[in-house]
Amino acid sequence: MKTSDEELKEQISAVFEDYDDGLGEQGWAELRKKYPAKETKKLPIWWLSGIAASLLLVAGLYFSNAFDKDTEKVILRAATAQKEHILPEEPKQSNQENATITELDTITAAIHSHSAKNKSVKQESAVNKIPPYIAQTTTAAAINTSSTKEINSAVSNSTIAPTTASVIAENNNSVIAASNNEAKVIANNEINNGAVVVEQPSIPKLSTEEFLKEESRLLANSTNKDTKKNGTSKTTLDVFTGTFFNYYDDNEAKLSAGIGLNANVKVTKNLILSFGAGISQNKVSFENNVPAQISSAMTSSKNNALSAPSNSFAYSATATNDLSFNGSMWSIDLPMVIKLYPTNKQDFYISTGVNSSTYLSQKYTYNYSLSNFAVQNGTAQPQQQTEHSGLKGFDFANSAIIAIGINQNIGKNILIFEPYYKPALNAMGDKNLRISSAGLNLKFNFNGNGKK
Amino acid sequence: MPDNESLIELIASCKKGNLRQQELLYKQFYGYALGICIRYLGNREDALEAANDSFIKVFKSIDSFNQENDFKPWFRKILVNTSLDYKRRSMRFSEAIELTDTIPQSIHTSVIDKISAQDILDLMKSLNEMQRMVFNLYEIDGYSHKEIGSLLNIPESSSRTYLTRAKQALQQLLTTHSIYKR
Repeated sequence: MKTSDEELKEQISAVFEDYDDGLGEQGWAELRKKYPAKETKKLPIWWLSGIAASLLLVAGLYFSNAFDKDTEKVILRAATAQKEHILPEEPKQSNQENATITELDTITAAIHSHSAKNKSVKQESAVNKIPPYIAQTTTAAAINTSSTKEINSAVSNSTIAPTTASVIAENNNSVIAASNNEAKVIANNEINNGAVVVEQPSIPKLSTEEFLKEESRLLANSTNKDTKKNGTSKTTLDVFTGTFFNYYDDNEAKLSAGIGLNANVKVTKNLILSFGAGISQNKVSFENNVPAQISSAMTSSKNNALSAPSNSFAYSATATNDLSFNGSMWSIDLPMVIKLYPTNKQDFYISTGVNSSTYLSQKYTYNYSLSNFAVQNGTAQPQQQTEHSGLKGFDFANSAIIAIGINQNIGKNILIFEPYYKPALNAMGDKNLRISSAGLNLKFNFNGNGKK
Repeated sequence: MPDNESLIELIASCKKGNLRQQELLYKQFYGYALGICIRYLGNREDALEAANDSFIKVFKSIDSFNQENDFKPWFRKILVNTSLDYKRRSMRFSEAIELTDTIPQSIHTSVIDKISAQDILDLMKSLNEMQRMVFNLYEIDGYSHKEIGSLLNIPESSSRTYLTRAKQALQQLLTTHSIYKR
């Protein structure tokens, strides 16, 4: 027979084995306040990073494309001015008397076809700046008769194409080619199906010496134009996205993220001033290791709570347990740094500067428990307080920036991996938090041709 | 409670971090968890908090759970430890209500059969914290005095003393209860 002790044990076990009060749904909701909150908070960061990366990619492709067109024009103009390929042509015997027909097989190296109209116009204007030269012939026959030059130009899909041609007029009878260098023809002809017969316009003749001088001047001009072009890209833009960890002492580091834009202004060959703006989220968490400046704020907060204690509980300030503090700030960051490229290759840089911040929103949560030893055997009373604030505050130079950037050329643009460290110089936000951070910026530089 | 096979599947899903499956596990073991925690903590609010903390521990450390073992004993251990931690943070074990020596009276078992969960909770609340802990740990959850000593940071002999006094107190209270009920 069972004793009353055993009966009691069995009864207790039976009663409490499944003590379902039907409030499981409510209990789960309570748990979700604590536990999954961390998971759901992680999602926006990764979403944000993903969106930022996508924007970066799209913007990169757009600017990359735009840059390609610009650089193409520059290259074309330079090539038109500089490149001349002269191939010997097959002489043709003419059976006709008193008429010299010079058939020219003209190879134009600098023919560049473009369907875009404005581009064609630019090409044309670029070519038009070049003084025309004409093949210099010494024969009276060639001058007196209307010479016909047949120019076979290799063109593709162009209505107007500049042609810089070298002509060697060779005639067994009476036409003498002056020289390869002297006999130059630039034709700006309307091409029809690739071969057109053009009436030679009356063009002033130049001696060899004059031609060489002119050529040198053209080359010099072309170089100047390129230099000017490079000069205009002294300022470049970076789009960046970064992920980083915020930390304070030995508290748990919190993962945060940000995106932004930077402008880079070339000061000297190896020195660049960079400044910009970005949006970032800064999070901190303090578990049982709350810094003094926050403790005082929390004490003040608790005192407020205690000013009207429920049920006339007399809380003891010494009975605080499980003190924790979480802060989250969305801020606009205004970094300003100097970048130094130590090598001529300019494949990496070292940068240092300061960051200032203003705050779009701030949220602070205090969690603590207060014990009342006079009631319920000192059972802790969990307390939580949350503070929100909107756009306010500006902290100048609240952190230093020390970074190393490693450049990776991608087409005409540059992808930069920039690990960085931002030690706190001053406090941030309403609660005067001194937050340091370390992370990695991924930057896309719209520059073209490498150097920033 | 789910059968063993579906429980294994459920735990496997929880290991992958599936929130829906975690909710399912929670709801299936909610009563079990609350029952254990309420025995130690005496009221629903505290018990729910301790139970939820225990579930969070389970979700965070479920990867370390070996599915060849039974889930319930593993979970019970977490529940008991969490309840004790919760209690330890909020009370001082040193306090004790000294009972005068009482002579155990025989109680008819039919009375015990009829006492409800609330009656038991009321009885338990009449014990001091340490007696309630030791009674629960030893009599209901099967811990040895050595383990109890280690868990509560008291000598083994003290555990025995608390248990004896808890039993005496319960006998006395049950007698009063049965007389009152009659």
